[in-house]
Amino acid sequence: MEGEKVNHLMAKIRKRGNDNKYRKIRSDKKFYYKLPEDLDNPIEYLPDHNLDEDSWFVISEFSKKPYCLDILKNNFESVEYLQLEKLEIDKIDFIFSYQDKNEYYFQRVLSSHIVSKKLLYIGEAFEFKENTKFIVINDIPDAIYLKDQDKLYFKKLTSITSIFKGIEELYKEATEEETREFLEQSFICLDQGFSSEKVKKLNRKRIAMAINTMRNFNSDEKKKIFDYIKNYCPNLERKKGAFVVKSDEDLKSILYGIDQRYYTTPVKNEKRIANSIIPINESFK
Amino acid sequence: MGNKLYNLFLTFNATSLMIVIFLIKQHCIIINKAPNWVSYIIFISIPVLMTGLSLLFTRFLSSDSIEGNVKDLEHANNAYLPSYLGYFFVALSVPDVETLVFVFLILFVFTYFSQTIYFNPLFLLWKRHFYYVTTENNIKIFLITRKVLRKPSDVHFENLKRINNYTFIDNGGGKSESSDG
Repeated sequence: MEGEKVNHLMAKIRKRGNDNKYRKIRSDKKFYYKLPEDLDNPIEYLPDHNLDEDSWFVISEFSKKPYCLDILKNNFESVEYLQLEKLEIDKIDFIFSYQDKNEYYFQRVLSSHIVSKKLLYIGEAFEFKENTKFIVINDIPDAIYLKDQDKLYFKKLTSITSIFKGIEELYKEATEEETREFLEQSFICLDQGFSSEKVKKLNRKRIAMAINTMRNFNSDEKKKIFDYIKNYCPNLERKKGAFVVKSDEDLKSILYGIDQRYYTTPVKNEKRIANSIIPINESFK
Repeated sequence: MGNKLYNLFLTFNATSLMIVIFLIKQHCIIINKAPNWVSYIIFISIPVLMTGLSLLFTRFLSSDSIEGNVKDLEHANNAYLPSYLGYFFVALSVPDVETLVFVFLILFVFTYFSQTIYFNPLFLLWKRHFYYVTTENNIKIFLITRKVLRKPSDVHFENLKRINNYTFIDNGGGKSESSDG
């Protein structure tokens, strides 16, 4: 597959100091990655959304974000970068390709991704090579940045946190202190034996979001939410109007309630939980 | 590895004119029956042809491109002159072959390790021009091309080859792309 324009494969290496840490691997008219066909209905990143297999998260106006790379903000010229030296191969942090003068494809490279193996090339000639080092270029990159749209697409935030430093703020977990404060609120009554230390990772993320959500509620709305939780979670014990939290699971029920994830189907009136939500208007923008 | 050999070859082309000047100064003759100048022309034509050959070999170098994000363009055709005149004077004042060998080796080593080995004036005979190009991010590179460039917006190359990290040569297919005139 060849195009008109020269595409460049670049590497970012781990190196101390302030020198430029990008290196050029190679340039040619081949396409290292292909633009996925399912980019058209991306979902603005939501930490606890379960992504469908064929969809992508998106971050709009990416160049304005603090974790955007400088190399994406400037115009790209391959001649500005040094050639990657053989000795630097083990220091590769991530690779990216710049294609079609607009598309950037990122792939994280862990040291376990740099494979050293005996290889038999199967082609016109069968060539055997020992100790060949290679990096497998994935079919689906970890992140895609389209410069004309200024949008970053990705599927898993954890796989790009090492590329875009600071992007992990998007899936912020509540700190120990925030968790404790949250659990001390009047609508929660901690059962003996349960405390903030026992709150697991996922619930900490939910608490971080719930804190934000609650901040925007007035007292009327809060009351409505509590009634709504009572209605959908009849098994949840109550003591003087507060919900008794005995386990992480109880806490999850309340947090789901604050996020208004319980609903009833219009036909048959089945009560349900949405384990993943997207605001409808946003996703069809 | 291939790249290093190629760089050695370019270094030799750039410095070999010194040997030619020395041979002419010593009135060296390779064809006895013909007048002296025939031999001299043969001497001169060797580095010229080798430089031509080095241009053909650029196709095996790694590719690059300049998309046109260029801030500044500077003509560098004349930049080689002072250092070249230096070579000539050295060659003219070297008394014997032994001295020549050592002076040439020293020069060769320094030329190889400096980044200016491609200031080979013989490229001019092959209609190549030299430019300093400064990109928008203030990186300065040395560019060898057939094209006549006048302003930064003229700088746009899809078939660039990397000689080293600072020196690039435009292969441009070697024909018809020249925008002279």
